[in-house]
Amino acid sequence: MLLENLKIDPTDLPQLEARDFTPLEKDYLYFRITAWSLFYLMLSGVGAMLSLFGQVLFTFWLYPLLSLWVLMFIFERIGFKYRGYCIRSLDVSFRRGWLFHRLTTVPLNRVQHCEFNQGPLGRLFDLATVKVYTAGGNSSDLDIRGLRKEDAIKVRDHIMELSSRHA
Amino acid sequence: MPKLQLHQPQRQAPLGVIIMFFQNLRRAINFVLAVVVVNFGRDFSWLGMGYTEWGIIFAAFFLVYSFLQYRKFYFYVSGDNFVIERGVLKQEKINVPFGRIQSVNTKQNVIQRLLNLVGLKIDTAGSQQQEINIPALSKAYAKELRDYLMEKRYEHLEEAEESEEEISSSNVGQREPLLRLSIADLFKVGFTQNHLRSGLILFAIVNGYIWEFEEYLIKPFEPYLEETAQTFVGKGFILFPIGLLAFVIISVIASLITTVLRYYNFSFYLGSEGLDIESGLLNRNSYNVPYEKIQYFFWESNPLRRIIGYRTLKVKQAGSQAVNERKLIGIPGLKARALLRIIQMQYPDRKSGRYTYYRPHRLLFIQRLVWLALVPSLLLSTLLYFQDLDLIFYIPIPLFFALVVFLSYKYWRSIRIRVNAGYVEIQKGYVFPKRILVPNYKLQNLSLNQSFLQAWRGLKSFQFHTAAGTLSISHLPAEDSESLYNYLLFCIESSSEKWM
Repeated sequence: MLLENLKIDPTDLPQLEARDFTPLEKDYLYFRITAWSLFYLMLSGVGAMLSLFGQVLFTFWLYPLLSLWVLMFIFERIGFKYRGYCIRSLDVSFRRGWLFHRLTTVPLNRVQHCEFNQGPLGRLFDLATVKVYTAGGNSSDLDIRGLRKEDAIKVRDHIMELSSRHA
Repeated sequence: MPKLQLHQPQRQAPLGVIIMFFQNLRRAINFVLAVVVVNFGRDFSWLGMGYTEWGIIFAAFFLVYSFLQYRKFYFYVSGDNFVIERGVLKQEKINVPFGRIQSVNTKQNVIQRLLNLVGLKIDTAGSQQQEINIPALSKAYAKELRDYLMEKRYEHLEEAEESEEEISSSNVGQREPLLRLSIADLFKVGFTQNHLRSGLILFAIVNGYIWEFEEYLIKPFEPYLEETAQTFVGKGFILFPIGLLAFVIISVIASLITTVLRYYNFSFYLGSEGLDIESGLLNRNSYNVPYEKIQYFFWESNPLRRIIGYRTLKVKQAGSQAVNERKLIGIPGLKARALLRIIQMQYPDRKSGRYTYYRPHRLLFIQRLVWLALVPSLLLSTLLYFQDLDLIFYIPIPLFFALVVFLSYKYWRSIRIRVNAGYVEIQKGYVFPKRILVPNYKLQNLSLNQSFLQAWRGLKSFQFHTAAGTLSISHLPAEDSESLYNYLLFCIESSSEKWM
């Protein structure tokens, strides 16, 4: 084994610090808020149908939905500060979440493949996602969302190049 | 030695007709069973013919069909592919590139054993779950074909990787089994199964069958059943212990039977290319696990097994979760020394290098105490309160509470993780102790999670993602988990060993 005789001081190891993370594009916040709002709009569409053609009162669903919508605003606003990615020479990391924080790191020598994609809403905001796949199962795959399209392509190419060098 | 002659299409052993006949018959019986049960006891006739006549016609049809199936089943090698052609009405051609072969296993069910034939099953690294199965080969031929395919596979892999390094462990390839279960071992393993689980599984199966045929099994007896049920309720206090005893006895017998069926004449080898396991009484299976596909080992026990010092070693292979459940191979009845020997052979440098230990915070205990002991007890007490019951009914509640608290405490104390330059070892479980050993270079990626509750206490949850599933350990102190995170990333990134 390579490491056997090496004495390693934990403090000498490269540390992954919060300040190393690049925040996402501000547009990504608006992207998320728009996506959620569309979702709530759809729900209220269903509610409106029930009220117009059925026996359900408007107040029965309108106020809960509105308060959820406002809560979503606050949560997204605060949560956005916690989102960010970090590309180092040997790994990629992504972190997110305010109440439930999650940090995932994929070493580049474990990357299976890496793809870039952009949905219809993403095209509207000029945002794209880079997906990094490993053999570690679906729950462990890394998605870097909220990048400008040209940045996303650069990030993908960078990851591809580095990971192929290690493979 | 028989020649394989794979450059031209080969058929299976002639007796394969019988195997295929029984395969068809089994499918047909599943299909026809419902019809037969519905008409049970009644005379059945259609187009002027009864059971016997139709039975003979069907059997003759299946025999002809099986014969055609046998005639149309070929396998051969073309280029870098192993090819199977089959099908009577719908022709099918399956191409298996040598490089895609993961392992080749042989299986024998009862009929195959009687005819002295072997079924060959090829596992591939494809996501599509196509069945690649040659059901009837003579024993010698199957062995040769298996060796041939595995050899081709390695040649192919080596070509692809251009690795000059020969498989160095070829001297390990002794054919002396590392473990063979004797009849006595078999009974010990059977008696120490998790009886509760086998009992419940049996109960579920029986229950499923009963309700499937409810119309015919229960409906006719309903008035009678209701009457007996009434008397049973009256004598409930006497019958309950008897029922419990019956359940225990049936469960033990069920575990004994499944153990004998599954592990009869179990033998385990360390081959030159992978682990080889052979076992089974009626269905004789042989598994081969290539070494590089092994992601990690874990071994576990239960209260009964701990008394006689038995552990079960399990091998986790690379693959999706669903595949893994099917492919999880257990090696039962291992004494501590035999287990350590296997681990030592697999990971010779496990003991070198100092381990750093980590333990979860007591929040883990507190959370389990609240959710598993406190909340159920309170719910139960309020339920009893509203039922206006005597105080005597409250007695089990504190007992339950104390038991759960004790078990939660022991569980919390049992969790430990230790890490050195080469390995991560996780230990958890008090009633069902379990130990997981993962070489660092088999890790794929890492995650750290933190809920707001953990943030308030300065804790984090650690997740290790491997190609054979995710392992996690919660409530580690934040500084510990961060330094462990950085250290393991360093280990993964600086290792040049192939994880597969």
